Amino acid sequence: MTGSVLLIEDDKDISARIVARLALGGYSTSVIHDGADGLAEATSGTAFDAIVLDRRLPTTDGMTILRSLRSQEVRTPVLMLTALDRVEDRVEGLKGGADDYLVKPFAFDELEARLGALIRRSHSDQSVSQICVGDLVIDLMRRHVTRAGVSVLLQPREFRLLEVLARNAGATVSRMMLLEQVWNYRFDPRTKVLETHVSRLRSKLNEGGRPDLIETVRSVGYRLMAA
Amino acid sequence: MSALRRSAGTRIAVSAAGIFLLASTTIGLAAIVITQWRLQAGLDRYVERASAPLVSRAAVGRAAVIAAIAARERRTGDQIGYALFDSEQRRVAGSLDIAYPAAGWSNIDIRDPVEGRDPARALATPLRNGDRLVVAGNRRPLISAQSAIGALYLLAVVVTLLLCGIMAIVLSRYLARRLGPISRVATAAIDGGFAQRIPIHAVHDEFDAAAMALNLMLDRVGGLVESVRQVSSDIAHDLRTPLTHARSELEAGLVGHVTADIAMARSLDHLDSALDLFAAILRVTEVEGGHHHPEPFALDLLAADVVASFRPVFEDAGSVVSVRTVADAYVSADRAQVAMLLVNLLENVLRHAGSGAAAVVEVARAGDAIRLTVRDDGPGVPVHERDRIFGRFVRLDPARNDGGFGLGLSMVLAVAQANGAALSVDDSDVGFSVSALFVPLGKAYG
Repeated sequence: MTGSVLLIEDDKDISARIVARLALGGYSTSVIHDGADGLAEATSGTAFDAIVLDRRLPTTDGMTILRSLRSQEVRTPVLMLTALDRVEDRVEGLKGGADDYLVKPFAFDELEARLGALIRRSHSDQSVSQICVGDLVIDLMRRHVTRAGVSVLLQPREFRLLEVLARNAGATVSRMMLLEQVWNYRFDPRTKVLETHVSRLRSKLNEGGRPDLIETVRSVGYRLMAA
Repeated sequence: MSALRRSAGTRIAVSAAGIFLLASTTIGLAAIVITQWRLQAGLDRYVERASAPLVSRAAVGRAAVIAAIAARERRTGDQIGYALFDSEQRRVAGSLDIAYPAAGWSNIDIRDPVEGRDPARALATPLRNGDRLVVAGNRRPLISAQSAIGALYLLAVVVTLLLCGIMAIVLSRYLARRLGPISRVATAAIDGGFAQRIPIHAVHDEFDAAAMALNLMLDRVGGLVESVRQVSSDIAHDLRTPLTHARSELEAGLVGHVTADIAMARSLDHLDSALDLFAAILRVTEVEGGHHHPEPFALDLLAADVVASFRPVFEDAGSVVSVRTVADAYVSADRAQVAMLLVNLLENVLRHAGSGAAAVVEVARAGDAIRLTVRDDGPGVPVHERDRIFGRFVRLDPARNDGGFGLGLSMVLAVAQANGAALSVDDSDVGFSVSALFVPLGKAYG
């Protein structure tokens, strides 16, 4: 997955490292360090696949840029960066039209995973009723899963977990993204809720000695791969 | 002396003295004016009464008047004097040694043979035969009365000033005695000592009310300062562990004891652990900061949902968790926070109840309220430790490093307080049980 990203971030050190990291992932990134210039660039007509927007910026702050973009019908997905992890900031950001939210300091793996998911979501058709990954078929309407034609019985959480992984098939989904999207938790429980569910899902999918589809990405998250 | 001059007691006393002096001066002046007016009217009436019979004697003749004057002068002593002038303005009778006066009232001086000159009030009445009768009343007693009032006034002023001086000293000392301890305790608090308290007197006056409020404030501030001190040292301690580990891993990588990949991966794990600690602290702080978004939701469904997520985790740990709920247990609270509370309580069971434990999550009605209880049959918490466990960074077994921060139950407490839920710990000897009593939806909105 590649794409073009507009990064509006005043910290030159962080933005240089984000650019380097995203380049490794195949993204081409334009960087603007100033709020007003960033808004101008975002509305200049250049097509970006996503915008990474810092909340606190010189001249025009991130929330103003976001609202202004949305009022001008610019639908490019926006990932907000913030130094504050407060519920009201998150709510304000999401209400203002942000598609996702990341709190500094963040791991670059997390940023890449979220950015990738954001771009995939905006490019894919969300109304599909069936996702196929290798020999795995997920029927989203009937909430039914088969592997190589054999029905796999999943608990509701396991199904939701598989669905999120499948929508991002081939890409890493971070632990935090899974906790948010499957459990609606904004925190990482100290116990292994996620690990336990992944382990159960794995054993159900791999019944009969089939190759493992879910790959653990160390200290980041999980990835569903066509075997 | 300058301390006395600066004292609020002195200022109050001086103000009081000013008011007293103003009042006594007003009363004194009024007394002088009124008594002068009344006494003069009285004297005038006395003189008129002395004069009238003589005037009527004039009808009989001058000789009758002269005889009457002589008779009166023998009787009345020196308080009233008489003189009769003929039409030639010569005094023909009476001992009053004065010049020929104009008709009507006048103030004159009379020569008293014993006391010298005396001021007097004279009434000169023209008689039918052209003579002029003068009757004069001595004003000396009137003036003495006024002098007495004036002296009394001066005495009042002196006494007032004296009393106000005493009041200034007494009031300054009283204020110093009552306010001194407050200043001393406040100064000690500024210097960082929160142990002292302001003594409370038995009278419970305004000073005591203020002192009690300040003492409560000192209790609270002292507690907060102690908690900040404790938390800072705990954070420092808890952060040092992962950072030291990360450092030694990197060092091992640098000198080649392990490969760089392994060193970096392990260091990352340790650093993530340090960041997790920060995240956990900030979450508690955010909840305590009171930013919460209450919404109506069914606590029974939330409990069932969280338990469903944790059931596999319990099974993997060789334990079981079950849920017992009543239907439609609607509460108004921050749903995400209550989910976090429940997760923390379940993690607490997993961490402390030991393998093979059975946990029960129960949502029940308790009168009007909805009670959420998490109970286990583990070793429980000693009774004397039960107040302590909700503090931050409290780990009852410090030797056991199980990756916990000791923040789980302080998060539970913070969520309960932010959402108006009363928290209680069951004091039965078996296992451990925490209940949160939520206000039901109808009440919260009623």
